[in-house]
Amino acid sequence: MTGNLEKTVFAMSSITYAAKAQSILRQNGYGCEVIRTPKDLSKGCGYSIKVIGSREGAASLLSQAGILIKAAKEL
Amino acid sequence: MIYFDNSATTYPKPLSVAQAMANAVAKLGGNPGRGGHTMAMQSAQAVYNVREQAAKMFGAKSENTVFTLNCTHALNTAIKGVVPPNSHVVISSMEHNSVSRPVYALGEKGVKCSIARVSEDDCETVENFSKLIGKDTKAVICTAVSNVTGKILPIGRIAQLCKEKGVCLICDAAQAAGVLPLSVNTSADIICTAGHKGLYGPSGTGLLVTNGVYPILPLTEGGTGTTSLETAQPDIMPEMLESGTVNVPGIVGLGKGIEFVNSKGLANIHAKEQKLCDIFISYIKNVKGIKIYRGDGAYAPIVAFNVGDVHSSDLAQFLSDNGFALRGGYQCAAVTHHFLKTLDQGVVRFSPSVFNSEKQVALLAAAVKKSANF
Repeated sequence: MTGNLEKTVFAMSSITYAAKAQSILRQNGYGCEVIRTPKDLSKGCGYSIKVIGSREGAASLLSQAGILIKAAKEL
Repeated sequence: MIYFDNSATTYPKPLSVAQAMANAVAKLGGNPGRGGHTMAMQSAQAVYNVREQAAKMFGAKSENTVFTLNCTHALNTAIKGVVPPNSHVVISSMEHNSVSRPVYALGEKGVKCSIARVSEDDCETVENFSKLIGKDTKAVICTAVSNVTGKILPIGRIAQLCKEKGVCLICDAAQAAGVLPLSVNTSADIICTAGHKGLYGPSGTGLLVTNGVYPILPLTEGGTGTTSLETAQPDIMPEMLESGTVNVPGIVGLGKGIEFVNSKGLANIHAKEQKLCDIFISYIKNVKGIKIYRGDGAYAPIVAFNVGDVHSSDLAQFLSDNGFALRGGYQCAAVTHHFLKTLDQGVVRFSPSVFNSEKQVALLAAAVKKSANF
């Protein structure tokens, strides 16, 4: 993952999955941070990851790891 | 006092455990998974880091690694969360009350239980389990190591048997974790253990680790930090089984304990503690009236013994009065004592840790010899 500066928020199922997603994406060169899920993505409490880099590539990595993306939002 | 009661809880703990816990109390003040502010996120990251460590130790995914209060809590969660009413389970003859009591309690929901006798011959033990597994059997619940005698059960072969028969194997790893290699891929479907024993973490910590094959219904419901507006407990692991605020300082301390174990190596820990047991046995085996509860099979670093007809609690008290911490009585294991035929006397249990020395063992042996005359 180089050069792509797409910014995306992926809503995760839990803080654990958010931390796991962050770990996987960082290992693969993505800029990534765990944030509270924006209210326009999901009501109620939840966690998301904010990702800088290829949206498609990040989603693919998460899918391979069995991590469900509950919702996504381009920034 | 010289401490030989490490099967109850290890002492001392590595200094790194205490330091990490003090740091967590001072600096990790946020509630993990309960907010988006920096402090909560830092706590959540710290908890996740330990979750990954623990998952790796048992060959599991981090999301299938659940923090519990202790091994008893983990076992109750697993047993009551997997076994449906009106079904059947098999337990071994070496079980702690943490297994036998929840199973007994499930009797009120129509759950029947059979006890497979553990033999010195592993083939016979596996055969004893096999004979008892029937069409209604939903789980086998089995310790990896007896908390009374240290007998190592053939858990890998029992796991294979359970896999062939489509039955969930729940393993009590309270005495095995940190000494023997265990994995949710080869040892059991669900591994339950304490954090404060062979993993050298603090009390108030435990683990339930699963391969995810058998769903576990939650024992408690409530705050998970997620889906706050929904009335139903979320079905997402591990939070589904972690209602309420987790023990952040304890978990961070457990992480340092696991680091300590990994740095020493399971095989080295086992070898050192086993050597201390061998030395202890060599010192006391000729003491008048000594009885050591060991057969020809494989044993973890625990030695159960008695001297003459002296009640084990009295002997443990004598040893305590002479500066040694060992546990007498029944070690919360009625089933085991029934099969050992030690219901009248109990046993005294010697259980060293990596921090014990051969010199300490020699001093204890001298006190045991002295006890033969009291």
